[in-house]
Amino acid sequence: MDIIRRNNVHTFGDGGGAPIVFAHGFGCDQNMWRFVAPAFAAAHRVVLFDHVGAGQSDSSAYDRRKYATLDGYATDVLEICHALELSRVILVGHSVSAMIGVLAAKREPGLFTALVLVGPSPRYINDDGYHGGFSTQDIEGLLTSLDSNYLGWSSTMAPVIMGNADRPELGAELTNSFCRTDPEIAAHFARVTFFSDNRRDLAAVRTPVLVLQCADDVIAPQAVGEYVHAQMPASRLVMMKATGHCPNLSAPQETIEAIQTFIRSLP
Amino acid sequence: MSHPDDAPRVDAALLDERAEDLYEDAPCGYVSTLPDGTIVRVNRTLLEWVGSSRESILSTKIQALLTIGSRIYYETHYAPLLRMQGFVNEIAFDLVSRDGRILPVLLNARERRDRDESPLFNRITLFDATDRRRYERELLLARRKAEQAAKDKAALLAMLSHDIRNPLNALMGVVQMLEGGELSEQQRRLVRLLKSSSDNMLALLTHVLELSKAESSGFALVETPFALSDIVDDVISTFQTTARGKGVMLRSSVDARVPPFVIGDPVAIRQVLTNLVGNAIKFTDRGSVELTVVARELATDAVTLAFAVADTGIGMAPDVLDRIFNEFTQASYETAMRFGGSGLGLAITRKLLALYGTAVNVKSAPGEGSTFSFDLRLPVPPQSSVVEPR
Repeated sequence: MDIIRRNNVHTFGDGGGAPIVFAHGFGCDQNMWRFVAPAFAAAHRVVLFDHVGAGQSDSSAYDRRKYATLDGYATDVLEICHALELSRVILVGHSVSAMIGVLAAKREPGLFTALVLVGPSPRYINDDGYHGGFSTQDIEGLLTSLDSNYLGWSSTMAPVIMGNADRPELGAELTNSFCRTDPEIAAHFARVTFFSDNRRDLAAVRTPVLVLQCADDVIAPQAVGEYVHAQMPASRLVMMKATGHCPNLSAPQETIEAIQTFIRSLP
Repeated sequence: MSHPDDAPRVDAALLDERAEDLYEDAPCGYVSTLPDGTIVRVNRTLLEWVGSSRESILSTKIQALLTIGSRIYYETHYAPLLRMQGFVNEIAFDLVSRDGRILPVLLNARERRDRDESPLFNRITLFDATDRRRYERELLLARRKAEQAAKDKAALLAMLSHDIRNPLNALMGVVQMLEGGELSEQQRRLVRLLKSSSDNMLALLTHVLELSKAESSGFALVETPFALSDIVDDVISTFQTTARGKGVMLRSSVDARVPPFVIGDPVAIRQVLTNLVGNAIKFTDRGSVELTVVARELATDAVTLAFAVADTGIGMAPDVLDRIFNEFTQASYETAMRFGGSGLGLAITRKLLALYGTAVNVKSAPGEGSTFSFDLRLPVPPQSSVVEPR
């Protein structure tokens, strides 16, 4: 199994600092680090990759059983680090990849120097005394929304259906060139992501952690960021001015500075 | 026909037709937002759709007009995509009006940027997609129903085949006992007929079961080290008697470079070779059938094997070639009558090879025989890990 090809791994930068691995969240691919990752190339070896099923990864490597939990994705992160012979890794995980990073660090604590969790949520669905932000019904609504966008007429995100081969009348202007994903895999990934519960995994991680919390984040509300911070013994919480769920795109400079300040503070 | 006197009146009316009205009353919703979604401008059409006043909606966020499912999609797909490529087209969202009605829309957006390429605001157009979404849902539903019906049918077929096989086995046992007894010539002929018919029936049932197994979603190929040459020898010896009986020369050759052990599903590979060699013999009355295996690409951890089954049989015309891999299809009704068989062998072969990500290639011409070939890339176990069976 060629891990580098499977996860479409790209590395650049040649700094003497710890290697820094960026993991993208649900709905996108490694492109979403394009405004942030280059800023680290001078001081670090930068690693970007696509989760299996997203971007330019090898979709044929998708195994529903392996990826039925976030642990399957954590296995891939560990395999990528080993394939590149990385050590003292700083892992920056956005959205669901924040939890994938937590699972990876729990399994191999010695591999990681620090974790940066951007908009993390250990559980999206409300539970007794826990506010995740969503009901089960809300998530079913998202799955319907995915159906419309992946399999329906518009099928914006689905090159399988939307590809130029099938609909040559659609020019390049109409096709979306980023964050392409296999529709079946995306629906499964959505289910696995939004029905996951990793609250118990947080406390097991002793690695220094930075939690980046945006204002007005509907996916990972502030209460959830505070919960993650409270559960992780070695964590620091930074409230960002950026709004929404993707500060790496909407406020790249603020994101870069927060991560750099954190890295400088590491022992 | 317009009257000359109408001209000045049309001009006057046109003067009255302001761009502002075109914007406000367009048959689509227009809204402009800051990069974070804050609404700074909105047209009357959209206000009517969501049942809100301009005052109440300005300075709120467009995300607040969406169902929660759509809001998640907005944050995880729409917002990143718009920021990265500067536009998005035809994203399906559900708006919620003040009184709770859901309005499906298609959304197009353009990001306006300043000279430094920093985003200034987003210009968004929304189209009412109620009808389209309804058709879409119906189509998706119909597709799911059809897929489920096909699955149910396959399961029923598998169950029936299984249930029929039990009494058939009893029947075959009885035939075998009869064969051993004292029979008149007439009775012996009848028993022979009984035997060949029940043999055919069993083969057909076995094929149906194998096909439904290969089709079931839970079916997975086994990965185990095995000796390929053993399988080739087994397949050849299975058919040797039949071949000799027809006066057809049956032989095999395995390239010396083929590793002694490969990793794969020996049962599936044997099945594929059995189907292809069995077919070749069935359709060949003189000449030869040859099974060859060549190592096309050899690496330390994997090998690409080229398999071929070549015969000098009746061959097929090009239009027949397209159909033979379909289930229950034989080249023609006459073929089925003359040669027998279920017509499932090649369909099973195709499905099994598809699990390996490969397919059969056929070269054939009427009267000149056929060659069925396929490539298979299989991992090779490290030398030490395989113990030579004694």
